[in-house]
Amino acid sequence: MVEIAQILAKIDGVAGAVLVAEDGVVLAHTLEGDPEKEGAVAAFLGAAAVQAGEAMKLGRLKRATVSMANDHIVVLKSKEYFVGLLLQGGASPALVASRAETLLEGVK
Amino acid sequence: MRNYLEEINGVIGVTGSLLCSPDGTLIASVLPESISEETLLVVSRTLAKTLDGLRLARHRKVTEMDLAYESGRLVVKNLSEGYLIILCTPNINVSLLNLAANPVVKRMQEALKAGGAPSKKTAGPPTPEPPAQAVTPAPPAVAVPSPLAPRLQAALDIVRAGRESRVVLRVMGEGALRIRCPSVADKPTRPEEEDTVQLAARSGQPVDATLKRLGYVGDSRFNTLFGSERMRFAHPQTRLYVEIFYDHLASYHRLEIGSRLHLDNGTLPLADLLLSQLQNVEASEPDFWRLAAVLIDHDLGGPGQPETIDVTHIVTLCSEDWGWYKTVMMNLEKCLEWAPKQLPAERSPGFQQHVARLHGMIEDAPKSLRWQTRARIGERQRWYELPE
Repeated sequence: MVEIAQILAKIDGVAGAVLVAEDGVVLAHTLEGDPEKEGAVAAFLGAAAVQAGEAMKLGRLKRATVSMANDHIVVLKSKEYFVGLLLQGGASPALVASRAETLLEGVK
Repeated sequence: MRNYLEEINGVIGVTGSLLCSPDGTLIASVLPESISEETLLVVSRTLAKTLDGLRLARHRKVTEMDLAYESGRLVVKNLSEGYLIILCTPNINVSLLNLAANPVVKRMQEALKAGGAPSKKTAGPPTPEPPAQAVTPAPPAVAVPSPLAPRLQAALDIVRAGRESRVVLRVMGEGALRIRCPSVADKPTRPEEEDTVQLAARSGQPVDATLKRLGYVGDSRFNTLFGSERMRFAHPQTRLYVEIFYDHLASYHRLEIGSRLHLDNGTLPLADLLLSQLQNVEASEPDFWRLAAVLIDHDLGGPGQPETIDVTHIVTLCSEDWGWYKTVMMNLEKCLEWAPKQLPAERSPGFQQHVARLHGMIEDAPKSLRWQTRARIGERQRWYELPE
């Protein structure tokens, strides 16, 4: 798990990565700040995105991106956990998400 | 607002859109028919709560949320006064969407800030609200019995004057029922209501200036004491009394109306008129007639359909608040007993059908944690306030 977080954190534009179970328990992270808080945000956002997608019958969640001014958080859904990626200023959420998805596929 | 949504839906890759208030209440939607009202409610509430939760967690406002799924995409834009949720195809070009939709979003923001009315800058096609002259429902206002028509007309004149000065005012209470529900027209007016009209407004708007321009004089003592919540005015010539309620109606239950004023043009929305009757814990014969009038004269519907009763609003309220649920269900059940004895035979079945449908929808809706917690206490503790 720690390795996965470290690999994801190496993607260009990623400031930090957190892997969190659906109940909000942090499984691994590369964050210097408050991993519990960032993990909770990722799990909260991921669960809400899954719920909205299920209600609208939109299929599997690929990614959820939240923008707060210049800050972006990308959440990806893996089989057993959510991946939260905190982006650096100016990073492209779509590009980062695409690379992260590819890496996660490789991990499986 | 529907016109704005239709404009957004014209962008390539957009399949529908909806607008909800900051608390997730649906304001308007233009989506494929296959998506039910219950679904819209779940999505709007889920996303609104998520954005609010993120704001609290990060101490920053979420400006945009983009949810990508296998077979679709949801783009959520924060308009401050509400959220715009855009349903797209999975391969939509989001940059193109932003380019095309952002000017409309800006106009929607302005309209929301102005209480739903279009700003002068944005007037022109598409026009989201009828112009001031077309205050709906003008035809029923003309059709009401002649002894009451001047009072109701005066109320609609205040609404119109408010619109001209960008002050959002809507007729509420008994006057609104007489404007919207022909079935109540032949029922006697309560003596205390014969020379009074009630209007709802948002706090912080210069309502007093609007009324003074029309010749009304404020009750300075009352307004000084209670002006943050209610104000009273009287017209020296017509002897008409005007009572203004800001943001909410506090009686047996508290009904928040400030954020819903823009949903209709002349009166409070039908759902709020119905709730203002359903909240009465001690409802008597005249109250049931009023309640019945709303449900006889109007079909059950959803958001964005001003001539129907937006049941999603009623269901949401009753699913969040056990006190509201208890009183509304109690009164709906009383209606079912009352109708066969009191209503004409040709009207009773339709009315009972509406009541039963509404009852069933409220009962079946998922309830909030707060609702469930309060439900455990039940009637052991009073679930309503005692009005003054």
